[in-house]
This record gives sequence, C-alpha cells and structure tokens, in this order.
Amino acid sequence: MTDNLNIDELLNGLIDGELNAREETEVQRLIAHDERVAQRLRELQNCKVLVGSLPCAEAPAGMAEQIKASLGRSAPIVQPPLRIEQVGAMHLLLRKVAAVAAMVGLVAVLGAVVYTIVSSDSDTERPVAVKDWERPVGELKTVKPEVRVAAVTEKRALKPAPAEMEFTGRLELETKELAIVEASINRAIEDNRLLERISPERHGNDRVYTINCGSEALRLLLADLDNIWQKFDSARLVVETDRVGEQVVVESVGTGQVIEIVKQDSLAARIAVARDFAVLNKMEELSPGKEMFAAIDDAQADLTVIPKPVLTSSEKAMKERSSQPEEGQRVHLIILLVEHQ
Amino acid sequence: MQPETANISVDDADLVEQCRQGDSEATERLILKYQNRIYNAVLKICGNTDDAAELTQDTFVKIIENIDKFESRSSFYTWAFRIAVNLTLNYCQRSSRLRFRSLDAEESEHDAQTKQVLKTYLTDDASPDPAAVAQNKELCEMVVKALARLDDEQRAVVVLRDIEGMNYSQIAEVLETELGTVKSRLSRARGELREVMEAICNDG
Repeated sequence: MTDNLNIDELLNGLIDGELNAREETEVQRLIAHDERVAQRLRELQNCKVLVGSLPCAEAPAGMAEQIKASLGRSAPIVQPPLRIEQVGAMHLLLRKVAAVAAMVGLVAVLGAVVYTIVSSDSDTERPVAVKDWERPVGELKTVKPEVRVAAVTEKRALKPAPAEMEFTGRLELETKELAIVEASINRAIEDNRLLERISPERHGNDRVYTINCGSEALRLLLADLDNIWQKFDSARLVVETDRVGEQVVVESVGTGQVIEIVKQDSLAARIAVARDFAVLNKMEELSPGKEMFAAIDDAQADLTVIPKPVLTSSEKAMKERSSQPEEGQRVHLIILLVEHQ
Repeated sequence: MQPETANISVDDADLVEQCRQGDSEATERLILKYQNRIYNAVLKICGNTDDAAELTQDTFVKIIENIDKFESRSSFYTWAFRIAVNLTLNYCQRSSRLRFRSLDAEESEHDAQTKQVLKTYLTDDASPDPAAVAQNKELCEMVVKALARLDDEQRAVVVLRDIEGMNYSQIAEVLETELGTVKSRLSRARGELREVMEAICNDG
C-alpha cells in the first residue's frame, strides 16, 4: 500500500513535471519494466486531463463595481487614510521645525550670555564699576557709565597691576534700608575687631568702607553680613585682573561667592572663579524658573554658605577673633553702600 | 491554463504599489486582472455560483483592505489566492452538511450515455481530448461532482494544480504547508478522484 502511494506520488510528479532528473530516470525505467505502473500513469494522466478540461467560469458582470461598493461601505478605499497620514506628517514636520527653532533660540541666549561675560574681559571701553584708586573718595559718587569709562582710562595710567597674592576689588551694594544695613555693617566691623583695618566714610547718603585685612577676617565679616544680604537690592563684585583697566564683574554676588573668590591662592584662580560665578549668576538671572541653579547651589553649598564660627563662650570667641584677622590672603576691598532709589 | 507568473509578478508589483498609494484605477485593474481566475478556482472548490461570487467579492475586499500588509517576499498572485482559498475552505467547512445533501439529491440525474463516455475516458489508453470534454456539459458536471466528493483540502490541491495550473511550490505557499504535504495530498486526491468517477460511472 505504501509502495503504491509512493509510486503514485512519483507518477504524479512525472505528470506535473516536478521530478528531478534522477527521479525521472527511475520512474521511466519503472514504467518501461512494469505494465501496471504504465497503466496507472495513464489513468492518472487522464484524470488530470478531465479536471483540467473543465471550462473556466467567468466572474459575474459588475464584480469590480460590487467590490468597490463593498469597500466604500466597510472603509474608504485607501486615499482617506493616506490624507490623514499626510496631515500627521505635516504636524510632525511643524513640531520638528518648532523644536529646532527652540533649540536655536536657546543656543542664541546662551551664546549671548557667554559673549557678554567674555567681552567684559576684553572690551576695555565697556562701562564698569571701578574705583579710581588715586582719587579722593568723594569722586566715587560719579558712578555713571560715561564717567566710569573715563575713570577706567585714567586708572590705566595711574594704578599699578595688583600683586599676585593680593586680592583687590570692589563690592557695590544697593539697599532701600540704608540705616539698618549701615548699623549692621558697623556692628559687624566692631564685633570682628576690624575698626583699625576698615575706614568707613560717609558721602551724602552713600557709605564707603575701605578694607585692608586678611581673607579670614573678611570671611568673618561677611559671615555676619550674610543675615542682612537679602536687604540688598543689588550686590556686585568687581575683581581686578592683572591687566590694567580690566575687571571681572560678578552681578548678584553672594557672600559665599565673595569669600570663594577671595580665598583663591592665585590671581588667575580668583579670576577664573569670578568668571564662573559671573556666568552662573547671569544665567540664573535669565532663567525664568531658576530651578537648575537652585540645584547647582545645593550641590555647591560650600561655595555659597559661609560656615560661621561656633561660639561656646564669649572668652573663646574673643580669643579666636583676636588671632584670626591676620590669616589668609591679603585683601584690599572697597565696599560701596548706596541707597537704592 | 498555465499562469504567466513571471509577467504577472512584474505587473503586479507596480499595480500593488499604486494601489497602496490610493490609486483607485490601479485597484480596479488589479480586480479585473484576477477576478475571473479567483472566481473560477473558488467556484470549483465551493461548487456554488452565488457563494463563489460572494467569496470572490470578500476576497478582493480583504486584499485591498490589507494591501499594506502584503510583503513582497511572496508574489501577489499566491498571496491573493491564499486569501481566496482560506475564505473558501472556511466557508466549505461551515456549510459541509448542506453541500453533501445537495450532491446526493442530484446523483441520479446523469444519463447512461455520458457515464459511458466518462468510463471510456477513464479506461482508454488514449488521453481524452480536452476540447471534447469541455464541450460535453453533462460530462463536465460529472467531473465537478466527483471533485465535490473529495475532502475540501484535497479538492483545493487538485483545483490549484489542474485547473489554476500552479506548481507545487506555489500550492505550498497558498495552502501554507510543506512541499511534501502537497505531493502526498495531490497523489491521494487524484487517486480518490478516479475512484469516485469510476463509482459514478458504475452507479445505476
């Protein structure tokens, strides 16, 4: 039975032309030697011809229209989905363009910030808050842009480059609560025994404190001023560089940032840190949410928070303070306190 | 009726692509190109003209709705026939009882002369003349009835090979089965078909 089925398969393969050369040769030899196999081949061939001779039926007329009608009922043929696809593609393209435009805008803003900072270092004609060291303190009130340019130009000729280890700078503070702030500053000076090293002067409503001390003494002073720092409407630190007439201006500076800049052991390091803070503060100022900078501030807590000395007794505090002011870098700082209009 | 598969494939690729892009004219050309062949195969498998028309229509609706899913790894020709044969075999499975009752009722309608002609074709050493067979309507009806007696899957293999003219590989693609299965199924189908036709000839 199995042999017959296998022979039938081979015979059908021969009829349909599906055998390979070896199989065909084998089957032909089988047919030639066995009449029953030859008879079976003819039967299968005739069967195939009978089925294959059946007339072809044609589809009913209007089949195509009926199919199109069915397609219309079930779903719009192909064009509507294509249209939706095109609209979707257009929306996607518009969104991509908007995203690219936003990216370009962001890069432009950042570029402008960086340019502002960098150009402040190289543009010597830029109006900056600079003290004319050789002039009487009374002339410091002329802090108008055009006057500042003149002051810078004049300073180039008069002031020598600051020493490598000495910090030289100017801190400009504006407040609406001038009396309260002045009292706090005076108390801090007195508490830190810096009366000999700080010479406060009054010019109209403005106060000028010329400080010559060590960086540690300044740190203690600023630590005391940290409590009133929020009363300043603006706080700007101008750091002198080794090039005459060039300064780095740090807007919205904090007490921690001032200390961080001052305590650097070289002029180059002070300038680099000041530039970093200038960029950071500028970006924070331009950032609507300021969340990023809050996170940065948290991460750099040591840069912005001044660790105050822990006082366990008045004697200890007195002892510590009497020995600390001479420590650290030499600092020459002018604090200009003006009333905010 | 041997399909010109090479030419069909080249033309089909263009038509299918145009059809995918919503070209209704290409869709219509695709329908007109295959409607008779699919209808003929479906009719020979299901045995009823109305059902064949409906199944053919359903086949094309399904083809066009799923044209985006068609992958060019297989030919459109075998893909379209796969849909048609699947739909038809599913239909046959659902309506098998009704179909057999209908065949039994028509069993005794053939005259003795036609039966003798068929018997001659089956036993004669000479091959039957296809033209003469096609012109003998009574004889064709007997062959169709013999086909209807086969299992659905065996009938589908015989139709795809002897009527549609597909090779074994194409049949395997359409039925989604192995080549060996096609060979054995076709061999059994032809053997049984011959026995059924002999039985029809000898009956009454």
